[in-house]
Amino acid sequence: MLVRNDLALIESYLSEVIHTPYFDSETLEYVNGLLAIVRAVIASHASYPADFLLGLRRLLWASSKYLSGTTSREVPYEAVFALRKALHEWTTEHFIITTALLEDLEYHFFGLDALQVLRNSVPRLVPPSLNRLLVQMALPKLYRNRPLYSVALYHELGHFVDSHRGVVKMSLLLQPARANPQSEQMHRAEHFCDLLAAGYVGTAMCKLLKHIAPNDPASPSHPSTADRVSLIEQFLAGKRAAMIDLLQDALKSLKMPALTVRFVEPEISASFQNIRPYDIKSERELHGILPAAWSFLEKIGPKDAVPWSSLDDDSIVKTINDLVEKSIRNYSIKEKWNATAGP
Amino acid sequence: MQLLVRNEIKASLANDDEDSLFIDPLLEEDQVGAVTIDLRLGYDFLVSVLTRKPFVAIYRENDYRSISSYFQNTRRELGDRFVLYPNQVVLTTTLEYLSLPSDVYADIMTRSSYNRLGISISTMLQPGFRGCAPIELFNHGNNAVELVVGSRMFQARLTRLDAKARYLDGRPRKYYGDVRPTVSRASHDKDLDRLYKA
Repeated sequence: MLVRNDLALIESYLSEVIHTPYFDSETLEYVNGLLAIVRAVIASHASYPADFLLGLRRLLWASSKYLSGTTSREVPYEAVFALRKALHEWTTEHFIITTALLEDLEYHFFGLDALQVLRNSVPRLVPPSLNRLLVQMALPKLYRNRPLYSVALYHELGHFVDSHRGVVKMSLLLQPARANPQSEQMHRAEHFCDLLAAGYVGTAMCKLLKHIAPNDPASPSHPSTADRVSLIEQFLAGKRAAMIDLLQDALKSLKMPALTVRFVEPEISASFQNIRPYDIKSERELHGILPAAWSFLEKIGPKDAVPWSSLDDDSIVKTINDLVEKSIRNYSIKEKWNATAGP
Repeated sequence: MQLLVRNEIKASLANDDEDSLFIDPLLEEDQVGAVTIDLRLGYDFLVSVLTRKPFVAIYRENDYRSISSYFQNTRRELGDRFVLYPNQVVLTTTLEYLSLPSDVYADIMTRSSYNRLGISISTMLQPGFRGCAPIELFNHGNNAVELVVGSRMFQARLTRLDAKARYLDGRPRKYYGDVRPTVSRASHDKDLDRLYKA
């Protein structure tokens, strides 16, 4: 009875969420579909095994965090816009990117898509029309207006690509893990995500790693920061490494795109030096503005000439992040506006 | 002083000089009118909300409550709607990022179509300004009004001065390069320290 009541609580919460803040139509369709299933399960809960109800509760509880974050008032639209462009290069499936804002200095990907799990476990519950995949990721709340730090979300996107297509699992078939299989699998996944991210944001991925986890040693789940940075640098330099070759072979076996550099760093100095957003000209530049801005930020300080001499350190970091955010938003606005041209 | 007309505005926009007029995105050329430029409603809003404290304090005393706590943030996308209720203060910006020449200042006003709905604003941007123009929306009418993000709600009137007047004249600026609405920083005015002791 209490589990059924929990499901009813979550159903009530999600119903409130979709009727209060803003929702895009795709997410609305997803949540409405999910709610219809939850209501059906609640109505005949006695006919479901207890394990199923417990699992569903856990799944919905977690998913509601990402779904409500996406409908909340502080979605990092600019980062999500760029991530959508990147993900289109890795899957032809329809997807929705959701974001949760965390109080902690932490990024993560949550791999259990409620509808996908239900589709696999009780197919009759999920109508075929509900075919969108949910990409659920989280970022620190304090970084919601700091697009330079959103480069970590490209790494989290890698986790989606891996879980969706089984890249690391394929690598294990090609080259089984040895000493500690579980840990090696997780380390391979982290390297894959780092390399996928570096393909879009280059050395900015290394800079962020050094910023948020400067001296982290290897753990069961993660390689050391030094090893991660080293592999990214080898990849960007076009050098060969056993891990890179293995992951490329896995992608090739899955007939997926190769890990490669997919960005162009635009020349932003003239615009940013004049405190103006840069006019992004292509999707390659859309991603490339992030490493370009990281490099720009490293060169600028209050000791420089006007305008920087009128700004303190904190204002400089804010201003450069804002210029990146506005550059990306302007690109998305123009794309949307131009898409509506004509009769 | 001289009011800038269409040809002068267009010439300055087309100029690559770092001290020229810059507006991005300028979605339609006809936003530039005879003596004004139409500007669009932005997508970030700070909506005033009631709190348990009955007034906004400016002095930062013991019971000071941050001004930002009187506002709630909400974001939209191009084409989304935003409802402005009567007697409600909402902070937002123009969709466009503006960079003004060092000898030009701008008056930002509501277009007459919106004045007639009871929404009026009037703000001024100093020469050399950088950022999305800050807008303080207020609905003077009796009815809530549904606004559309990206609609042409405002117009800028540009005036050229006889001499250059740098916005950054060595002093730190409160709202330089802002791309989203910012709550009042009135409580950070340095004069307040002296006034408190007076």
